[in-house]
Amino acid sequence: MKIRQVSRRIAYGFSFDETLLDEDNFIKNAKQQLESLPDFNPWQYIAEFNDPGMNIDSDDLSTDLEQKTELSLDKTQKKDIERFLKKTKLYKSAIDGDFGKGTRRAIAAWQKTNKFVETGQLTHKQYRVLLVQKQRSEPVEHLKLPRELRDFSRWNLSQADLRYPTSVKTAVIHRLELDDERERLRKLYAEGEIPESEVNRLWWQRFNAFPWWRDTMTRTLDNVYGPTPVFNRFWHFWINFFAVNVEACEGEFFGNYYLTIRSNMCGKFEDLLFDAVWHPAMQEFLQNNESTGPNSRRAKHWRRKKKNKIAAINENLAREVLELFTLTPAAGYSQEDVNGVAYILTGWGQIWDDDTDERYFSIDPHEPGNHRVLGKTYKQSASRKLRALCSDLAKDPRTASHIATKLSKHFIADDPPTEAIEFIADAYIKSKGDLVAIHQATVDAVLKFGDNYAKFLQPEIWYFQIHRAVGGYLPLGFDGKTDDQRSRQVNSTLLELGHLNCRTPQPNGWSDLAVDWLTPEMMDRRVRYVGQLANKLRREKRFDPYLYADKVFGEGSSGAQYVAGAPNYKHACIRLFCHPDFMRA
Amino acid sequence: MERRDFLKGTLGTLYMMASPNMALPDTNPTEKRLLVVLLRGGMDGLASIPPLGDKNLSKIRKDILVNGANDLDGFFGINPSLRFLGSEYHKGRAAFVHATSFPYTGRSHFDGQNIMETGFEQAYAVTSGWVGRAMNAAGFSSLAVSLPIPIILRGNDVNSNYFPTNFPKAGKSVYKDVKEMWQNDPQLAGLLDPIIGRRMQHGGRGDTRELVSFAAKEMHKPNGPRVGLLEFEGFDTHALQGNEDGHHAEILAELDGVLEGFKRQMGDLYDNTVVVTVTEFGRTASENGTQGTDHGWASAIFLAGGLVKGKQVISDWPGLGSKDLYEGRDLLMTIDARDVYAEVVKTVFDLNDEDIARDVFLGYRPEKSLGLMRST
Repeated sequence: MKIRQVSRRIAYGFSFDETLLDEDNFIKNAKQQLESLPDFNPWQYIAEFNDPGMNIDSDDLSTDLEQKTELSLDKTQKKDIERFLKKTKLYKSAIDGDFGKGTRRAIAAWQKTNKFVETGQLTHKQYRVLLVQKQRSEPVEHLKLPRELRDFSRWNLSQADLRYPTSVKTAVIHRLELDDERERLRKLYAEGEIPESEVNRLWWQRFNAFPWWRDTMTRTLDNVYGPTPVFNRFWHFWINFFAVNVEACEGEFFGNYYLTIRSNMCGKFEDLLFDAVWHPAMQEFLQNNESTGPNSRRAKHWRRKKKNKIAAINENLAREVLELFTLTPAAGYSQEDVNGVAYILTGWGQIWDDDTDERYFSIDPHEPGNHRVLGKTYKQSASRKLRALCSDLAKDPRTASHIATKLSKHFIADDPPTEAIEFIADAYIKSKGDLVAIHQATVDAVLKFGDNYAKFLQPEIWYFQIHRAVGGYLPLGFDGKTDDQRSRQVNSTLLELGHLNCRTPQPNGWSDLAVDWLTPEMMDRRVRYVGQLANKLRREKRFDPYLYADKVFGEGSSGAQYVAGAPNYKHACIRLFCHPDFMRA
Repeated sequence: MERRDFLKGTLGTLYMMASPNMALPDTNPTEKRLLVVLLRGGMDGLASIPPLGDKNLSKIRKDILVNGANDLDGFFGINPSLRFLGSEYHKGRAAFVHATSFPYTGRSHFDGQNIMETGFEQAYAVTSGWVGRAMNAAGFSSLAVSLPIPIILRGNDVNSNYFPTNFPKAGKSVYKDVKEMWQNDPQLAGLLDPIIGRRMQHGGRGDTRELVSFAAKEMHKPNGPRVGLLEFEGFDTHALQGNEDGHHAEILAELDGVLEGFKRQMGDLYDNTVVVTVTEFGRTASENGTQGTDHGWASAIFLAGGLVKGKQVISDWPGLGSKDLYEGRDLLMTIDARDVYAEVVKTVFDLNDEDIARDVFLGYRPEKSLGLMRST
């Protein structure tokens, strides 16, 4: 394969001003990216964002510290600030919308706790930091999001508290807060304080819209601007392999779940498998957290209390562990094997239980005793069985073959040659499931067995490649209320293109096959999207579709000539990005 | 645990946003119409059409036992959420088949759905769908409509799909240009034709009722589609399934309301219509540990429309005793679902048994007639 096509197959392509590496260096660089876990700090790219329509504030905190000029605020805004300061016990006087001595002192105290210079006067930036804090502290039904919070494109994201859950513990705390909030709103509804329609609206406003937006956005930024697109493409593969859906799993878990998968990508598959399976996101998505062993303590408690509850397992996750994550049904496991896995899985995902270990395992619903799976008896202590099972399943050559098949279908061809699958499976077996070796073998397999333009790109990949090509121009608006606002947001754009990652229809993830994506409606949307984007690009005059066509298709190639013959700029962009050779790699 | 149960249960509606896909194959104008409703996830036949006359039912189900089911024929009842279908049944315009499924016992969604859509006994062995092949056999070209085109409709030369979007439509010259650019591409050629010719402009996110009434309107047109396809998700009720209330009842009520709206929109044409449901498998007969049910085998099929010989529940009831159940847990299949679907497509597409065996179910020849259709 040509290296520019390989870069579009195993990464997100290249921008118009990027120098393409030669084959040796490209492969060397690609393999290096896969060797160690890269940092994930996508917010850093916001400041580089270059779209005059967006008004991104790029000055950092240090310059702000010297900025003494006070922001002018109206009386309502001042009252809001006073209310917030009163709530945080920094301010004790009347809510009068008048910044007297008391308010100034309170502002200074607030500045002190937030490590700003204590001037008693709010700068523009401090005001926004305060608004974010206020947003988190107030009951959501009183929340009147200020304009600039509604439109995050005007917001310096590096300073906003985006509740990014880097630790699973934080994610779980957010998840529980979310439940409490929902319960509180339901109570308000029950008491006739708010109409039913408000329950969902207010709850969504505070929680659900936020994490989706955040997780799609962070991944988008890193894919489009970041230095490790090859690593990220494999990340994309694994979050789809261990798919969870926001309709059955709270969005609060997504960020941490995705990061957990990412952090395992330079280790062994068995560790990745284990960490994905016990993660509260997966536990909640496939409802294993509610599975109860029929002879567990919890079951006995129910029986003693004569609770009218059936203590039994839920085999949902157990079945998918065997079917989707490891052996596949071709392995011919039995219902007893599925039950065995389900027994081993009881006890995990107990985030509501105060008495769990750091992975949220609780003995309470766990089915005691030894459990058998595929002829092997698991005799370990309760919380160690799952780890042992994951190890065994990961060692199985049928798992190696399954992972190799999935990687081949994703990266090489819809109907990959057997040799390619064997090549990757061989790397899996030789390295005992080492993901660096497996990923690097996949890169080699793409070069060895892949053909140019043989893979039709999924909408998300196609979309990121366009934005990487043009050097950004991402729609970074916060979830808006009108259709027009929505169309300026990455999440809704991906939804319209038919591929919003967090909405995978079923646990087997998004399809790798062209036949599932090649439909008139989805193709029409690609045309429509590029048309919209072209209008924006034309105004900016930075991106040259004619030059880029030379770069991506090759100088003098039929694709490049076709773009060159376009009657105008918009048609040129559409001929470029909707060209069969751009939609494939 | 209990607080969470309450929350999840009461929040059911919040998760009901799943937008069904819809597909409308375009064909020559004929009188008969078909609406296929895919119930993804494995629909619980014992909760939708509970066998009230089987004394074992209340022994193996507690939290999820459906109370207040309305009697159908003295043995079977119907979930009160299926209000419209129940009343249609008594008017002789709806029928049910019970303890039916495809002959697949593997309990995997993905294999099961592939089999229910391809209509072949092995998963992933063929790439076309039984409805698509039936239309092909009848000599109809097709226009399919939805985001991904469901496998069940594949197998026709021309396919199209439709789903509302908020993206503004591109200009005529753009479509013309793209059409030319794609004309020699084996996968993309002609793909935009249905879009270019289409006049409808729908914004929004695809509310189910809106979509089905749109489907009905299109099916009304002289050259309109002959088959509509609607997808429902959310039948994979492993946890907190609910009984006459709760999650499962809510989806059934949604389905029921959608079918009622479809009938209203179809008007007189409803007399020449069959509505039929398809699901990958039924669920365990017993309740599981999370007030739900796991993957099972046999389920129920709903049939409605003027072409259906209604007011009957066709079943060779296998029983719910532990010895009666498949592997001691699933309702046994006693009627091959293909027998039911063969009758439907034979009627709607005027096909014979040879066509069915050759083109539709690829080697499978239904053995007996169930008498589900009115003679036309």
